[in-house]
Amino acid sequence: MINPQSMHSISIKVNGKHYHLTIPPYMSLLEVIREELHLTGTKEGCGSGECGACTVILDGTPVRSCLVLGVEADKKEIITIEGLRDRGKLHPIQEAFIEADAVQCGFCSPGFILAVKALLDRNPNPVMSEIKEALGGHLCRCTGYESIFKAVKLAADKISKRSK
Amino acid sequence: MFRRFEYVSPLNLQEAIQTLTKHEQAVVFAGGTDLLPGLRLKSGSKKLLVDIKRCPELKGIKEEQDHLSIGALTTIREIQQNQLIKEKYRALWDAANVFGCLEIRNRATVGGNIVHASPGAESGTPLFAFEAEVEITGLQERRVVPIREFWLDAGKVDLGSGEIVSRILLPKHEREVDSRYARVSRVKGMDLAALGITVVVIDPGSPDTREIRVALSAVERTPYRNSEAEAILSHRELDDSIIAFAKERLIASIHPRETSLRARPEYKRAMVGNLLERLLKEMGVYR
Repeated sequence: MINPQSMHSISIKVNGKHYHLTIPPYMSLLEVIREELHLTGTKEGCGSGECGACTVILDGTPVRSCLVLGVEADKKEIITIEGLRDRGKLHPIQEAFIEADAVQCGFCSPGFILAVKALLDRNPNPVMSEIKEALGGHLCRCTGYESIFKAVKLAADKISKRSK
Repeated sequence: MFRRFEYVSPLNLQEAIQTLTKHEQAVVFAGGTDLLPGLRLKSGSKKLLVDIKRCPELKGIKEEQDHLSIGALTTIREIQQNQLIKEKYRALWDAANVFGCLEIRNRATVGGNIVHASPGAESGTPLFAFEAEVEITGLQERRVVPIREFWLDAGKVDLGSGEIVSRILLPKHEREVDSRYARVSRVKGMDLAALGITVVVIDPGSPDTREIRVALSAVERTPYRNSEAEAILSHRELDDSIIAFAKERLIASIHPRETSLRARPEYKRAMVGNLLERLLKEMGVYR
């Protein structure tokens, strides 16, 4: 028989760095990232899984961090928007979002960009229907989706050129 | 911020069931896509979340002698990626493709989808139309019930305290089977179904022996099969007058509630016949 405890110890790897934390079970992964690790690039939009702003990559899979508990992330690896920059240089997806004018207010951008990263990691050359599937749960209220779709195509081009 | 709760993550099914039996305020926590938004509400008793995701008994899709066994923890994404489901149980695959969005499909489980018994649950009509069975494991016994008996009412299922849905069993087809699922929703992307329909065609190529099943969601309090439409469509060549009659009877027999947030009853009635016709055409049993 197992007994519930009020605080839980977790070990997580975030953007390549290891953290050991003691947290209450009702803390979402989003709260762990923002309030405990002070990585405020991950945004809280709706807080109930509908908008996609809080998307992070958990063991290679995009998830809504507002609908994952911090305790569930124990021994797992997380990538947030801060983890994309490499030695001070923006990631090609971030460059593509800037070049394609796919960022206006920017609140939805971290979620979009991580969803795109997970997409391009599993499928470097997505067709439009695959892009729409990957981004179907992400809401943007000011930039507009057309320029975001262009940015995804541009990012795929940039990444494939670099790997050649 | 969620309201306060406690959390345990047992390592096997027996341990999970013991924990559920011992603690009155315990609730099963799987994908969390339905459970966690509810815990954002300020009011409510303090719960114990029993995270079942580490229980190996609840995982995996396996072909067994008489059925395809789908572990309750199978995610909607895993259903979407399963080739056998796409080939043999196409309507369930269709439903997985329109379920929530990718990030939700990565977390939401098929067990969770049925235990919440939402009248419009995406997996509801495919499971009803394929005559799925639900395996339930408790402290002392394991029982298997047909999905139509498991699903009692909106938000209510045949599940006692300390019991967990462990698997969903899809009967193997003895004859050739084709199937499709379609829905209407307010937006094409991430949305809940305002109306859902699954049509299963057994023996699609031979009108004499052909059996057609029609299951609907978001029109009654639970998904259900419309036996009137099924009787009209089965065991005959389908021509324009048969289709028109089936649509007319289908429309007359449904009673969508006035208070639905997603569509007016008149709209649901107008759409249900169109979806039926469209799916029969897609499967090539009516031109």
